Amino acid sequence: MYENYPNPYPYVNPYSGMTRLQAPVMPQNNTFVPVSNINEAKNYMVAYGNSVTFKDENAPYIYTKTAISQMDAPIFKKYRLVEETSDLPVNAPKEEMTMDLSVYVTKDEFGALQKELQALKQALGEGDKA
Amino acid sequence: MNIIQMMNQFRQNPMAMLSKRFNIPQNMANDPNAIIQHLMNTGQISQDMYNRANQQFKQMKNNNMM
Repeated sequence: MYENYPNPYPYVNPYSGMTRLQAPVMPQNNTFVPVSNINEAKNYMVAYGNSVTFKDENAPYIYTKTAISQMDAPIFKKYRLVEETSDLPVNAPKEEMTMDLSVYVTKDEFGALQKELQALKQALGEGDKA
Repeated sequence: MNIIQMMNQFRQNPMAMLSKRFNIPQNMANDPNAIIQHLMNTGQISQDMYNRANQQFKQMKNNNMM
């Protein structure tokens, strides 16, 4: 019925003039490189100025290899993985050992006892000898 | 040329395969490891590219494709 009339509201794609935005490709330098043994990690090629972290798939170790420059040999480090069973941080201060003070006498109590002993000695006539 | 043929060519004669595309000194030894190290050190390929290629190569080996 309305085929002969031009459409007064033609469709206009609002995104037609825009280029599609692409997510930036971030370098994934922070991931572990799985290795089957320590030699594979040692022989792994690392570019100067880079550091690579390895996860040993057959042993509880983490390795890092850092290449500083052509003049310096790469720095290779080995870390052993130990399961942490405590919730406390590794460097948390240890609790001070509690001492049971009830088994000790105070200095005043000791002084009183000493005086009492001295009085007994004097009463027995030994105080003069001392 | 499929990926396995490319890998074999790279192993046998990496200079012939890469010298046109990359800037590799002609006096460099025709050794795959030396050439990769040179390309990484000169920033022509990134550490991340090498890591990914290495992982793909290991996967192919694990799948007995190599």
